[in-house]
Amino acid sequence: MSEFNPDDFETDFWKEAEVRAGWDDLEPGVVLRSRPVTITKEIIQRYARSIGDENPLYFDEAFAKSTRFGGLIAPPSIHALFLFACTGHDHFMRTPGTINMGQNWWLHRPVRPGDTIALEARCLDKLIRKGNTFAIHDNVFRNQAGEVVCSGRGWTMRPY
Amino acid sequence: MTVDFTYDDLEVGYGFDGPEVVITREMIAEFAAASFDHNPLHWDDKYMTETEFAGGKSFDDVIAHGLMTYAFMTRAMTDWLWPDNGEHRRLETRFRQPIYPGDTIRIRVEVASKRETRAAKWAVCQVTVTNQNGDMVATGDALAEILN
Repeated sequence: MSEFNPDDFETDFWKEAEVRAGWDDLEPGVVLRSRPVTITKEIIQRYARSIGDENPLYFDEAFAKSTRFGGLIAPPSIHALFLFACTGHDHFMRTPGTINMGQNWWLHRPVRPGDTIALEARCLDKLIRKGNTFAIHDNVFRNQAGEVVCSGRGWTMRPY
Repeated sequence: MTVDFTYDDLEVGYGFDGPEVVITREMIAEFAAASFDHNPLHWDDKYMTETEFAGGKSFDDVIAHGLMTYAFMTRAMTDWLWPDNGEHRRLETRFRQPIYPGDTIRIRVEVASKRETRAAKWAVCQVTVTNQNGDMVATGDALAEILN
């Protein structure tokens, strides 16, 4: 998979939608293709602004240095971004109509500007409940030192 | 730096209000651009109102990202805990009802229980998200590691 370029991200999730795994094709436990992404201060700050969070730990280097964090960090929900930035256009999470039902993340350590985050992502399980199809997503995010920064699961209702 | 409370001070049942947010289409579009989640659920009116989703239902409008709600719930925790009171360690959420442009959502956090383990001190928190009609649109369990 090519390197992540925020200006070159394919935003049309309808495009080549047929190549993505439908519920029948999901193979629980199989790790999916992903790419490491180096996160810049600019990408972190755009994300923080989009959620209206102006915490100085994301913006004010001198302040952040004076805290126990020792420098700028990213909001803990930044992993929302890696779910898409680290995966390819063929990842089933991009399927139009994928509805997020719930999410749990354990936060081991903060993400910092300049970190290169790799995502180990898979469908861990799939089920049918009340006539609807669901997938359980299992995600482990590691930094360039190989340290786990975040791990957790989500579950989505599948359109097909 | 300032420590606002210690583990011993913290009482089960203590609660506080997190952010109150008026959801707009622009905000949803900005979150899509910032998080790279461009699912048509969040921008395509025609798709949302004309598609039969699970259960034979369509939506009234585009909807906010579940992960945007997750971000507001997370922010309630970090605004309370950082920089010196504690670490926000975990949040498990359930997105119960769609959040639409024009909705006003309110986040509320309450300490449900406390627990000391061998190495740390924890507060288990219930996080709720309600809209302007009083509907509980999302709920969550958060785990705060209290530092002092």
